[in-house]
Amino acid sequence: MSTGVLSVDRGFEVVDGCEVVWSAGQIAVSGEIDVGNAEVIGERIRALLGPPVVTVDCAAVTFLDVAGMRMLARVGAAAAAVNTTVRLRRSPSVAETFALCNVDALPGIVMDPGPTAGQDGLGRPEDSR
Amino acid sequence: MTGAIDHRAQGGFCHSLLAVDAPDTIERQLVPLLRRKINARQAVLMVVGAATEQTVRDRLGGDADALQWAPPDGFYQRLGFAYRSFGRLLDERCSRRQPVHLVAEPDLISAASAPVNRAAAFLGYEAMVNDVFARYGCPITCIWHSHHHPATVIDGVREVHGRQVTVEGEQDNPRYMAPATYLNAHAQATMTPTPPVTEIDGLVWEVGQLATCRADVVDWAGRHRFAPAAARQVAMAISEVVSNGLQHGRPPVHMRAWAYHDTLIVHIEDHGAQPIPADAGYRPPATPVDAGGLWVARQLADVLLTHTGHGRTAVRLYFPYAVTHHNLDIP
Repeated sequence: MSTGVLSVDRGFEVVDGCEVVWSAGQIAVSGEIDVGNAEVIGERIRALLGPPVVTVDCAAVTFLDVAGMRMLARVGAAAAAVNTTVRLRRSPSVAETFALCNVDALPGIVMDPGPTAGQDGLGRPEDSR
Repeated sequence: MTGAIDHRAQGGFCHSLLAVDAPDTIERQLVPLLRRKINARQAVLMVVGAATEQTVRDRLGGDADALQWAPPDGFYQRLGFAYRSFGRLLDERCSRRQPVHLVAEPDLISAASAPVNRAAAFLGYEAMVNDVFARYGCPITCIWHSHHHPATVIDGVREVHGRQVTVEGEQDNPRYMAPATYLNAHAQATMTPTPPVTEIDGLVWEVGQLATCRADVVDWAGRHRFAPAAARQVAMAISEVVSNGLQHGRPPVHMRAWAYHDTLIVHIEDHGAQPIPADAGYRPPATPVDAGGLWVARQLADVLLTHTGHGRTAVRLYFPYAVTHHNLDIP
C-alpha cells in the first residue's frame, strides 16, 4: 500500500492494487475491490463524508465482490447518518454485482444511471409473448 | 421427514408436480387444469417446451391465447439463474398485485457423458421454492418427464413438491419433504475424485492473493475459449468461494481446476470442518450488508456442490460452455 499527497487537499493511494484518488467531496477508485481491500477503501470514503454531496466514482472499477458491495452499503448508511448523499458512479462490473445481489437501491446513496443489468446475459427473461 | 403436509404453514402456497409418465399425460392432466383456470379467468404463465405448447394449443384451440407464454430458454440457463429469474418474476407479479399461476417445464436434460446431473442439482432449488416463493402466493405447477431422467432424479422430484396433479385433480403429495429436511438429506454431495493432475493447482493463504487467483482463472478460462465476460464470471464465482474458505474455513484454500469436454470444473477445498449450511446460497441477501458470496457463486456457476468431511470443506463448481455463454453478449 502506498500513499501520496498530490496537493493540500488531494490524495492518492494504492490499496492492494486498487488506485484511490480523492479530493474534497469526491473520490475515484479504479481497479479491483474485494474483501482484501474493501475495508480500507471504505475508510477513505467515510473520511470524506460531511458535505451535502460526495461523489464516489467507481466507473473504473473492474471487479467488485460481495464484500465490496457490503462496504458501499455501509458507506451509504454512514453517509445518511451525517446527512451526506453519496453519488455513486458504477462501472459495468459494479452494476453486475449489484444486480446479482438484487440490489437496486442503497440508503444514503444515489446511483447514477450508468450501465443496466442485462448486458452480462443475466438480465430479465420474462418477456412473455 | 416425509409425512402429512400442512399447507397452512405455507400460506396456502401450492407447488405441484405433474409427472409425465405416459404420452397422453399432458392432454389428460394438464389441459383440464388449464381449462379450469381459463374458465375462472385466472392468469396462467406457461414456461414450457415446444411439444407441450403444441399439445396444449391443439387441445385448447383459440382458448390457448388466454394463457400467457414465455420462452423457456429465457429461464433455464444456469441453475441459480433460472431460480432467481422465476423468483423475480413472481416478486414483480406480486408487487403489481397480478397473481399468476406459473406452469414450468424444466429443460435440464443432461447428456450421459456430462460430468454432473443438472436436473439432480436443480432439485435443491425446487425444494427451496417451497420456502422462498411461498410468500408470493402464486401457484406453481412443474412438469417433469419421467422418461427424461434417471429414477433417482424422479424420486427426488417427488420429494420437493407438496402437491401433485392427477387425473382426479390436484392432491397432497405424501412423499413431500420440507425444504430443510430435503436439503439436509442431500447436503453432502457425491463428487467424483479430482484428477491426479489438474490445469490449476494452487494454495491460497490470504485474501491478498485473491486478485492473482482471479487472474489465473480468467487466463485459464480464456484458454478454453471462454469469452472474456464469461471468464470474468467464472473468476468472480471462484473468488467468492475462495474468500468464504479463507474467512469461514481454515487456510490454506486449495484450488484445483480442470476441463471435462466443454465444461470447466473448479474444486475448492479448505481445512475447516464446519459444514456449509444446507440452505446457504439459496436465498438472496436479505439486506445489502448480509453475506451473499455463495448466492452469487450459485448464480454464476451452473451447478455448485458442497461436501464437508474428514476435516475439510469442499465446493465444486461446474461451468458448461454452452450454458455459461447462453445469452451472453460476446464482444
